[in-house]
Amino acid sequence: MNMAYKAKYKVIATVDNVHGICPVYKGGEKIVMQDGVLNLQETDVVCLQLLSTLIHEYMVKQHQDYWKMEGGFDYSKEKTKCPRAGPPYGEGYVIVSTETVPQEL
Amino acid sequence: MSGKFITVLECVEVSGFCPIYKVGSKVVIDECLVWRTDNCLVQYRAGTAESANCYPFLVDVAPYFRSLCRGVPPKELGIAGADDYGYVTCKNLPVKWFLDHEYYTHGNVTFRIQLLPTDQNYNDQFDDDLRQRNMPPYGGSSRIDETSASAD
Repeated sequence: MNMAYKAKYKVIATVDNVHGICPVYKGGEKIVMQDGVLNLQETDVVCLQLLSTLIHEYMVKQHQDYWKMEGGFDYSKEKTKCPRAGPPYGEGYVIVSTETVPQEL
Repeated sequence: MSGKFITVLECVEVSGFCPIYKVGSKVVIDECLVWRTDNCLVQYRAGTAESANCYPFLVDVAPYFRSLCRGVPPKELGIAGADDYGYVTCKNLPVKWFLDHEYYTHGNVTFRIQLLPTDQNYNDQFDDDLRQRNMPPYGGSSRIDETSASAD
């Protein structure tokens, strides 16, 4: 299991807010991505519609030392949301924050 | 019903600022192709075509695109509004979250999804080329049967 063996960060996504109705999350659930896979022991539940957003979030944040080192914008506190629309268009969506934890290689 | 569909995404709301889309912008998905039917707000380079799409937005639509191309109604996918159209948004937060909670965002777009029945998808025009190469046409095994039936 080393397809991402150079990943220097474990990425923990937490559902911060539920706006409107979400059939999956209530708030506070965690999705843990580590070494290129989902850490199922530490993950509560994964919505596959949210996963489309989290995949590229994870892929960049597992290497965040690169873009921080190069002096780009600091995206580390940026939150993201699932692609579902909230009222008045759709039922609702969730807002997710991500935390990165350095890990030993 | 032909069983073939074109997916039309039309921007119905921009919350904050989006450099790519404005209300009324349309993105058309025809099988594996994604088209932009209006010009970008910001030109990429002078003298170049101005038909760019937002890559993160397309990734956000990705979970739905194949089902939509095959005619699965947005209601079945859980993304329909009260009017039965589908609605999706991009990964950025609506601007209210910045105003109320100071969560960073520059803007968010909401698109309405409409499925248009069609007699021919873009890929269909290449069916004869594929047959000449002894390859099955686009559309899966059911259409291989159609081919052999017509050959009989």
